[in-house]
Amino acid sequence: MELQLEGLSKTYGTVQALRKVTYTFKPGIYGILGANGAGKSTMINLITDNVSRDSGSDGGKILYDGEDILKLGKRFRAIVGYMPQQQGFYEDFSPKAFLKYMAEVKGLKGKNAEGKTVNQQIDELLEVVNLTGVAHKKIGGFSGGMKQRVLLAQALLGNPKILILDEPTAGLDPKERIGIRNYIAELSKDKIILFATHVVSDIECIADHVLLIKKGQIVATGTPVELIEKMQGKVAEITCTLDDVGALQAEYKVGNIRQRKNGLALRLVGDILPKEAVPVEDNIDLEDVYLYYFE
Amino acid sequence: MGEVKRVFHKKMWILIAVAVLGNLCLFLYSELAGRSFTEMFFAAGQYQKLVERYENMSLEQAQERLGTEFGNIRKYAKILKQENSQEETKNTAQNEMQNSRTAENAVQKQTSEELLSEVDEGSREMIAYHQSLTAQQQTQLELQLKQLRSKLEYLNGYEASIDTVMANAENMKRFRIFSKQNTFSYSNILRTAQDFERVQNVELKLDNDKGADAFVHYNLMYYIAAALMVAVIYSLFDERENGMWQIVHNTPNGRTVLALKRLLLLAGGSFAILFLLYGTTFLTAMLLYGGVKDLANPVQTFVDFGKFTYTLSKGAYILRLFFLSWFILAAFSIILWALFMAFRNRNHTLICTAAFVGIEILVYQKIEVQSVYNVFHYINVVSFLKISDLYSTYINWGFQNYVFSVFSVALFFLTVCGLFCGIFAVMRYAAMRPNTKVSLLSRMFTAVHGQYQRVFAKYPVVLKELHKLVITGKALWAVAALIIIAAYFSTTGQITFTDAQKEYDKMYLEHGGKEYGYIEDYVQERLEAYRQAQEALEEAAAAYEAGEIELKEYTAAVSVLQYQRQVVNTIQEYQSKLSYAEQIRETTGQEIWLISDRGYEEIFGKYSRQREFILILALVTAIMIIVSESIAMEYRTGMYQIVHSAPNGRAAVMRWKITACVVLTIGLTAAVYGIDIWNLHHIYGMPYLAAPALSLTFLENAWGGLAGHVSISGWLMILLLVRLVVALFTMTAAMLVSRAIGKKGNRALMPAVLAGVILLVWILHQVTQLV
Repeated sequence: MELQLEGLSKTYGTVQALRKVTYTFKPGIYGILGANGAGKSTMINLITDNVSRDSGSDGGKILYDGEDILKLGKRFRAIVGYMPQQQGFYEDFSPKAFLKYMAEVKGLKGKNAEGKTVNQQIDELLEVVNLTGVAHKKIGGFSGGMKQRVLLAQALLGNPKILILDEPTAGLDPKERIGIRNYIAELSKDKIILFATHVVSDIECIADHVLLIKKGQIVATGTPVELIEKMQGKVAEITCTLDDVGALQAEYKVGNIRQRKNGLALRLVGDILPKEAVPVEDNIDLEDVYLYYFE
Repeated sequence: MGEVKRVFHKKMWILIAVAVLGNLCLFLYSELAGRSFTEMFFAAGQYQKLVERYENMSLEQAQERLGTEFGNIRKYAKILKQENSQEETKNTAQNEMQNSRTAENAVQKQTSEELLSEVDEGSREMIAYHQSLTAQQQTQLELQLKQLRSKLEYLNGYEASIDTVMANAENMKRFRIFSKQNTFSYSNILRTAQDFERVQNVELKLDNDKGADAFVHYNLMYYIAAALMVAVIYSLFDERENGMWQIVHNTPNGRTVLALKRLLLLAGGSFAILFLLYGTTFLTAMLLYGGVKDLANPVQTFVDFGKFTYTLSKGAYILRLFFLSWFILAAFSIILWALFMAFRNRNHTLICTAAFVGIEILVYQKIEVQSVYNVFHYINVVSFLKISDLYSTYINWGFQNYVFSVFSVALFFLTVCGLFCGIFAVMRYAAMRPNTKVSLLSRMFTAVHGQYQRVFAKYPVVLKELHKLVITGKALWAVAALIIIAAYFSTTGQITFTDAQKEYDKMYLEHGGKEYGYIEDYVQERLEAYRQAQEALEEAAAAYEAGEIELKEYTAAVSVLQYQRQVVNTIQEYQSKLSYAEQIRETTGQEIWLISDRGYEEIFGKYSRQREFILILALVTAIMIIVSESIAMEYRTGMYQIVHSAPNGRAAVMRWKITACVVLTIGLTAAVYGIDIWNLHHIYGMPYLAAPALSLTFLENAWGGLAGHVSISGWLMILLLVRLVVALFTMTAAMLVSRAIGKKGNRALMPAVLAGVILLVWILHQVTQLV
């Protein structure tokens, strides 16, 4: 199973949101990191066919197992589960009613491969996302986190082969985030999961591969370990006073600032670092990678 | 100011503009009273001229002059009809009737020329004017003369009526049961005398107060103003649903200060809204009927203000009425605001308010003014919204020495309620925390809703799409408005039939229909009796000339003939119908039934056109508003991306939406015309539905002779089908426009599309008038 992006581009007026992006997704979890406006949502919208490609060959292609997804049409959409960033609902529906409606829209009928009916699948999903107790209450009265869980449940409905999650853990408390992350990790064996987020720690825990998108292009890609290894010699810590922080921020990319007994410890990321800074070798993380590419 | 801008946003102003426009249309519709605009303008101008004719005379002179001129008009018309009707007769019997009229006139010896030479100049002038009008205009003129006559009788009798009240008050004091001091009866007598003494010297005159009268008695604008204030108050509570409550409540001026500002907003908002509605309606009335200069005359000039005991001019009354209405509207708004404060969920509050108003309407209708419980009739939402009726009603309540008018009691009660509710609302707003325990009412609503959701989850997907249209898309308001319009317009503006017409209809019901031999025989018998009376008169004339009989016997024969002629006049409609039946039989070979045209003319004949136009316009507008949301909603709720990326999220969802829209359209059409037909059936009945449609004379040439092939029930079905086609066409257009526009500008272009629809319906209306 492969999802290929070949020279994928998209222009909105004079703004080129995506520039000739080429990448192949295979089963596994792909963390997609990028600042706001980097092109993450555009890429996702093109894959879900919620936005049209640029005309002609300029727009590039999206192929699933060698076939253009536009030609596959309904067959491709049948294997995609999508959770958008914006919380979109019919607020007067209950989660059960909403999922039943989505089941119809996804064309789910009869029993699935595991012999479960649609109702059983829905009940199971409601339990996974911990919404069984409020299955018949109006979504409009839910908290942000609860609405997020409803959205996730509908994306998982029908056991899609390609799961696209845009900020899936936004609004969830740490326990819920860990639960959802672990559940997604379990699913990844035979699925392509695209996980777009700003929460670097989510990707760090479960992503098999990470894509960093900046100004419509993939600026870096690799496993978390590979990306972290590339940061050797590019991360350091410096101790300073409060008065020095401003000057350092102006000259270098500054990550975490921690209070120490002898002052403030600033974590600096970059190709050129101050001589007095102490290189960090052991506990470099994806946040440093993010800072390096996006600050 | 920020709060004003927040509440009175663009959509609210559009709503207010639509309400003002709608109010003016309703006012004009109520003044049309089944006439066309041309007829209405003509009548308005004519009334003004009539008033100008008599207003400079004393009231007694005017009454006498009008009576004489009116009498002469009718006499002349009757004589002229007799003289001219030979040309109009359709059968031998009527010809013979006219011949014998000549014999009768030989006794009476009065022609139209003779009458003209006998009457005064004024009457001649009026007769000439009357004769220059069309038949419909003549009827209008006669009606207005009757109205003026009644008015002059009232004006002339006003002083005497006041003197009578004063004298009665004096007389009643002599009765022991009323003369006991420190009782309400005694105090009321004193108070009544005191009140009417104020107006004892009011001098009334004839003037053109039609505009002011129509305006003062037009109450719908208060209902519309109240509905708009409900929308304003509903909008005040947006913060409970958009998350702003938590933020606002946490600011220094976000509690008591804000609540006080909102109190002022309600007072100011009700002023502005009422001013717009009141002012535009008043202007329209004045433009339509004139009479601005007559606003300086006493308000007692209005016929039903005979018991109004304040010395105010009409203009002053109208101004005072505005401020009273404003006060009442503002008080209502504050009370409603307090109710919204009592409940957390504004939709629950609306439901409770609607239920309360429903009860008030029921109580108002069922409790009579003479009932011991009439306090619930007068201190009632409906009563307050008929402010002028309440203010002008002279009824006193009280106990012992304390006597109060019903209006002052009602106003006091409202003021106290408003005051307490205002204080409660301000304190409650300051103290109420955004996040706290859910109320019992909310829990109840949640439980009920939960049960509904269990059932709803199992609905087929098309019903879910229908739910989305009506509930998720908040179209219930449009549906409710449509039902109210259908119920209102199918029960108002109807014509009531005269006693003679009712007698005809009774005959049709009892002896008409398919077998109408009884009516044929009835007609023949009367014609035969008339012929016999004619023969008898001819014999009597010959005998009288020969000196064989006295004048007494001759005039007796004339009297018999005159009586028989009156009887024959009453069967003219049957004769006309029988002729029509004969004509249809000859031209088409079809046997029609003998039935009345009247009720059906109201239901789908020429008198139904305005009602039809309004109903179809309301229906297509509601369909446009609801259906155009079907696609826009997916963007608005953010669901578009999810649905569009699903396998059945394109063509299949579109099919479901179309099916849901078709079901909705059929449902709304059935509801509107079901209500219409139900009400009309209740008012006029629908006898002989199986009769051939051609039995109704006004359908003879309708729609290219289509009526010749169906029954009346079939004709009704055809009309329903045509309306359904128009509705489905509108639905299709709305969906296409909505789809083409997509997520941008659905709402911005809605007014433009609606205007296009209105134009389309107007064109259709003009076309159908040609049929």
